[in-house]
Amino acid sequence: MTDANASAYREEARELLAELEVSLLELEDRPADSDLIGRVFRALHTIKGSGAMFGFEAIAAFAHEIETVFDQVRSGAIAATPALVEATLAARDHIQALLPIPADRAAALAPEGERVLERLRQALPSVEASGPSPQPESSEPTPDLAGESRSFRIHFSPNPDILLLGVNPLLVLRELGSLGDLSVVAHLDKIPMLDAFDPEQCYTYWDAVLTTSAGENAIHDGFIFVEDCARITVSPIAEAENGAPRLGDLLVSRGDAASEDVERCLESRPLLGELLVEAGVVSQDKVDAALVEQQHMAALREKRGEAGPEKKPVEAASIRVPAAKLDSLVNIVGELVTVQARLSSYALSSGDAEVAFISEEVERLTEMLRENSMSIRMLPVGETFARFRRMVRDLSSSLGKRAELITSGNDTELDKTVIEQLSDPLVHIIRNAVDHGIETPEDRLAKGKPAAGRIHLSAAHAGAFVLIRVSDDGTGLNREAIRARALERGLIRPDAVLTDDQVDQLILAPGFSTAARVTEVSGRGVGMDVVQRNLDALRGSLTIASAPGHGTTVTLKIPLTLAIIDGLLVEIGDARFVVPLSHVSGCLELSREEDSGRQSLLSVRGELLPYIVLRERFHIRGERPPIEQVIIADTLGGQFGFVVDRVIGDHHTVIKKLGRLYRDIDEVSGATILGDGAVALILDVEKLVAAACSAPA
Amino acid sequence: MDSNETQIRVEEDGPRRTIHVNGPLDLPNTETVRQALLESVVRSGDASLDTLVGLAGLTRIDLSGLQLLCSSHRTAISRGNSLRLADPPAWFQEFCSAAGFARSRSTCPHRRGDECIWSA
Repeated sequence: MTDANASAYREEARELLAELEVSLLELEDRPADSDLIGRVFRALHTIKGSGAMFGFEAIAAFAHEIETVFDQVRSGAIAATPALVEATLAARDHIQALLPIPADRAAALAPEGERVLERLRQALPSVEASGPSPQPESSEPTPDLAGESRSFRIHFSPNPDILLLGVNPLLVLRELGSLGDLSVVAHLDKIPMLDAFDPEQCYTYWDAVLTTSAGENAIHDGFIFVEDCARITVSPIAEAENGAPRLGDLLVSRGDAASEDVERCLESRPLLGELLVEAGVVSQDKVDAALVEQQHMAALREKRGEAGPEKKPVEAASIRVPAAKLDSLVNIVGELVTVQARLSSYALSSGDAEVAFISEEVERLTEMLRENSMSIRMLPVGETFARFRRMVRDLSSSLGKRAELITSGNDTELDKTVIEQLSDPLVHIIRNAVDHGIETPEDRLAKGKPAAGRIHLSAAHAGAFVLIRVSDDGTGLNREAIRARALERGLIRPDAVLTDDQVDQLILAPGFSTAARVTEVSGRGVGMDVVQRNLDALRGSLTIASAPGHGTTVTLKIPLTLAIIDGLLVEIGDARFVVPLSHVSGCLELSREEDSGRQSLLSVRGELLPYIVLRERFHIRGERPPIEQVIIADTLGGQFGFVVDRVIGDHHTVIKKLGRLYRDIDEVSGATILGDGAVALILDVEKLVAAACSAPA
Repeated sequence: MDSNETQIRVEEDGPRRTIHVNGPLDLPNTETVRQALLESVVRSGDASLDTLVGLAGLTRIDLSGLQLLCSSHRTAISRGNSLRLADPPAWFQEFCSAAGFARSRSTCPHRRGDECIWSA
């Protein structure tokens, strides 16, 4: 087994385990749903079959035990009771624990595996606890990784003397039939007249179509005893060969012709096979063999169609690519964007029309490549969301509460790096919701709420951001307790006048917790500040809204991507900066006469706009020009202006991490390399505004 | 009677001749049956002979036997005669199908019209 195979198996198994978990959780609510039971069985079956194929023997053997149980559930012999689902979830966790362990060290987890299996046996309803079920026979056809069956075209032409060797070709056909669905046609054209007939000669040869989940090797194994005395070919049939609809079917489905009319016309004309035979193109037996294959494949498609959409063959419309390759692609595209910026800059200064034309073409293609490569990195958040269902279930159960997680916007896409970094913050927020938000069933009923609490996890696009909301219908934030705790920790002065919203935001302070007790779940004073730090790393932001008695909503605002952003390039003295375009709502000029000095307020369409003079903020030497530019930015605290010397224009910004020396500068979130090789710092608009607001007047 | 040995019984009724095959029609016995069929289909000299192969007593058949029946049929029709199978046992159809011999359209290049000994 190669590392690549092991890695592919682990990746596929993780996806199957995630599916298994979701199916099991749904099975708790709908224990008689045969479709769900089938999904659980198929996931276990594939984990087992692929595990055996790729050398994960411990996983294959363990999964076989669970699969055997669910085979009984599938047949209706036993019911999917809550205890059985619970035990199966534990078994799923055990497979997950086995997954990263090398095969030769998996034995260390065998005692734990046996404990899990014992628990499973005890959970079996109406069936006596039994010992381990028989292992699958070694001759069992190994399913392929996807568990899908494939069709093969087989030609079997024995030598004429095969019967004299004591070989019965019909037994070979029987062996093939045991592998799957076999359609076979015997070619009899070599059988002579009676006077020349030799009973000991084999005159017959065969064409067959076999649909099987066993691999091609299993088919060759069937011929192992005749391969020296027969001509044998086995070739896979591409199902697309039969995929195109017939003209008559199309005309009927488009309403252009009645099916009876099409049938009548078809009956009155010679069949293609007859025409070909008549023209001497092919012999009748070749046509007949092709017809048998056509019928076999048609029957196969019909059968799959009846089995529901899940049974349809997986289209090769997607491929699995290592994440490192995607990262590498984006890095290269990032370099290309930088070089393209240099080219544009040169083309502009050279005044050469031809160079300018080429530069524009390169810019257009680079833009397309950038968008394409960024879209490849986008993944739906649904898979991450699905993991939290189990967490909410287990947490609420351990706390003596009842809570369910509802998700929406599962198809919303985010950069894969963002999704990976989003998981931890969401764990904290959802844990807090279950532990501090949702009340016990008794308390909820006393308040007139349903016994089971609800946590709604949603995702939605908002411009260059994704908004992720976690809402619970629990007790809401206890503002009195938050205020008291903040006073105790010296976060606020005793006479501080705070709005409800400002009180709510206090829970983001490092080490803040109002929990009276430290539970396994939360209350240790770490949590929301960790969430805040994670979001800072994502260049995201967080807001909290709470209605006492009705619940709390935490909103995370996350940028779609961390790799390349659209920015507005500005200049102050010799220094250049990038303002993320997602924040920019407009630009205007600021003359000396309009400058309000220390008040830093500007009247824009009748509204007062506070502004920050970035030259002063960053202590950049030199005189301010007589006419400056103000970038109007949308921030969480409303609109703010940023005064710069000059706006250069929009800029595809490849984000580079800052070095260690700059890491503590809050107002700057990263850097980018410009076309001329200079470095521009990327401004963190929210942090700039927050710093300006908290600075002493 | 040895159960591995085929017994042949010939019945004549005007232009119809029935050759009853009792026992196995397999490699060791195919030649015996071939001689009986050859006698009926080729040597009788009767241009309009209708031959029936009675299979009610057939106990098993193999590839050699299937090929013989096919050969007999095409020999008969090539001489303007007919040959049909009569009273095959219940398992016969399924066996022929598994061997690829039972189809509505014959692979036989000598067939006449849609006539085929393997037609259901």
